[in-house]
Amino acid sequence: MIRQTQSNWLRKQPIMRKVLLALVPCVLGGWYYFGIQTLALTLFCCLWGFFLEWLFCRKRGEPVSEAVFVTAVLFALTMPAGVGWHVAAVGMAFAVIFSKEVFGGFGRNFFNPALAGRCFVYICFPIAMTGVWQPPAEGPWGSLTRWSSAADEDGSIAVTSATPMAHKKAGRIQFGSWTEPALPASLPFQIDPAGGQIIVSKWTMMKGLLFGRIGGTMGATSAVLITLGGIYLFVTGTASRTIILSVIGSYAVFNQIFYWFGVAPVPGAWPAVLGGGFLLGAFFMSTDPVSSPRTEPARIIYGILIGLASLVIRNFSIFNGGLMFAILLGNMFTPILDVAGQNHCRWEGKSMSQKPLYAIGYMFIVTAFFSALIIGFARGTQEQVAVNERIAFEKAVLRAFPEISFTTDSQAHQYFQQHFELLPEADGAWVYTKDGIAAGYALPIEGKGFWAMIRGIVGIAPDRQTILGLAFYEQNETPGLGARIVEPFFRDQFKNLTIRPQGLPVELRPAGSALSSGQVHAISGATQTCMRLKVLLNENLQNWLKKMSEKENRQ
Amino acid sequence: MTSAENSKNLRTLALDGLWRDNPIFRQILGICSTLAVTNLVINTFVMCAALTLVTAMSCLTVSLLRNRTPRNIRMMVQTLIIGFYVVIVDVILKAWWPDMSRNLGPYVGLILTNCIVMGRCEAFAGSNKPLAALWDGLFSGLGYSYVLLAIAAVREMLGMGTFLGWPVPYFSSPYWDKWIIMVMPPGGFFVLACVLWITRSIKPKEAKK
Repeated sequence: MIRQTQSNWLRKQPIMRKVLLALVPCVLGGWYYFGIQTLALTLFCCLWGFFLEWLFCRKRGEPVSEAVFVTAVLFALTMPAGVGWHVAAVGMAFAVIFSKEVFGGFGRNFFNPALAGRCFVYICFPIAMTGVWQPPAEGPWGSLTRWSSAADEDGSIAVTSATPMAHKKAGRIQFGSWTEPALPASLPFQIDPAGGQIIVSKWTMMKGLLFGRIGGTMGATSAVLITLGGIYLFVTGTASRTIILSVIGSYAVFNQIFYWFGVAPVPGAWPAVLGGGFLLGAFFMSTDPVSSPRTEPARIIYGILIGLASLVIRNFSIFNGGLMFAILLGNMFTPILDVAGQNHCRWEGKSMSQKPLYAIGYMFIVTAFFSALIIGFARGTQEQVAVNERIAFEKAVLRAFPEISFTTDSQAHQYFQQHFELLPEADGAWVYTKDGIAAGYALPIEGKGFWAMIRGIVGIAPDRQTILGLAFYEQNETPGLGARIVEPFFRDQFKNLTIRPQGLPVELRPAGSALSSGQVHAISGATQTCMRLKVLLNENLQNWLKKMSEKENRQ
Repeated sequence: MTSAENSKNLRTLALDGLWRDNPIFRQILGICSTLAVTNLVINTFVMCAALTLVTAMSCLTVSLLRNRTPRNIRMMVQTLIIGFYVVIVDVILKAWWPDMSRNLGPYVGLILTNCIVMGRCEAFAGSNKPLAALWDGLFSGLGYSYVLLAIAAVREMLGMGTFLGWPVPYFSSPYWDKWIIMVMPPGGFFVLACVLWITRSIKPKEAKK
């Protein structure tokens, strides 16, 4: 399928050259929006990738394939502008060595190397990959003459913390109608993450997505530029047309269906397809000739699989890089889909249930059936679950004050309603009023535990120098070990605990060691949980105490 | 397939699940949850009820679909069906018994990986008629349940001096020094070992008959 002519050190691959050509608009776009640094990074990835592949190819006595440049450019285009070069170096090393060379080099890998590399750094360096986005340059010449779009006049770096797609997912961007509201003076896509939501006209959003004046990865901000290259691939038949149509089509259709059913936060077909580099993945990565299926029926299923998986991952998981995981999943199924696709024809005449495609279709229907039942059931009980969570929260607030006693849920609810209020002057803490005077603060705390989030309440005396008690309403720590933080023997240590004026407000010491004021015993055997609990408790406490004392000083 | 079906009558099936092929002390399956949730009788009771329900219903569903399911993907379909019932149980607990849901934590979800469920689906339900499969799943679950409840009763009494939360006369008094290890996971190992020891030592008598 891939014609190859040999030379001593570089294997000529016409297909790969066409792909490189198709990528030119995206690379230039990256330069225009984010500065010369993007070109430098792309070049660095190419050289570094070539060097790594050469190390391995030399041993096998093979020439380096040109595909490594495609890998490098694609990988670079999926990096956020201004990402540290070490990130790119590690990612390329993973892409070339661990997702290509260990399988025997070009043509023998079963994951798309660029995506596997990106996936590795995405999980390895979450802050560099998802937390820092440069705003694209403004003005007609963009940042063609500048190193980076982020450097302000005073040299400081302006960054935002989320892409428009992430804002949309979090509900911070809401759509108005097509034209209303009119374009705001500032770029509408730079929102303070803490600052509520803004309403954007659909046309503004679409223009942003099409022409790339939005934060995002280097090559994936402008749908128009990607599509230019994509059309070239499509028309010349360099990439499989079936896969392109199947991926984009199924993703659009699934999105629109979910959107019509009102499933939040699915944004509908066009913002989904145009946003977040979906097109880059669909045109250039899902069609990788090595890691995608070769038979036509298998290609259709592969595309649908990717469309569905990226919908689910993008909207309902903690990751925004939905298409990346989806394509890797699709790659994983490629061999079996190919076998199924080939066999399907060969097994003609045998009974229906023996055909491989019957099996796949059957699995699909059964999955859809049971998933629908579960979704319906979960929706039906949603309200009840919300009420339970509310009561659990209120009970935790009451338990944080050991002097309060209650027996039933309704009693707890009533007491909570009468005595607790969320007042602005307490900065996020609930104020406990007893007999008309303030008797304490209930400060909600939360943070990452060993397995999942730990959420709880700290009861604090009105003078803010003593902790009255501690209670949890959500934790999923290891039962019998970490989960023992909810047991009285541990929580009782926080009764009337003095907050230490210097250093960390609360110190957890190993079980059995001597304690001074402000120190409690950790649970032996639950080091991880206790370590994290210590961090989240102290962070929440310190922040709140600081805010409160600042407020006091101002008055 | 049909000739082998229902060669065992319902009485035999029930006895198999409860004693002769008891999942815990004959097949040594589902040990992980045995150790994890048996420190309180009430937790164990809910866990057992959930597992029995999931096993019985999964067996029924697997059996209903057995003639349509292609052989080569039957395990995937079984896992899916089991997962479905596990999620349902999880949602029910979350909605109507949130405290228990919090107590059991991840263990409800882990019913999915309990070997008993998969074992019965694969070994029996996949090649037998729905009613027999339901019956078999039910009694396998019950066989698992009474052993676990027995273990839990011992652990809770020795470790906390209570039964279902009620103080047990002698064990809750100051004369009884509580065995803390019984509340912790290792306690489950010891009691389980004793149960295996006792039940296995009864077997020779039966064999002689």
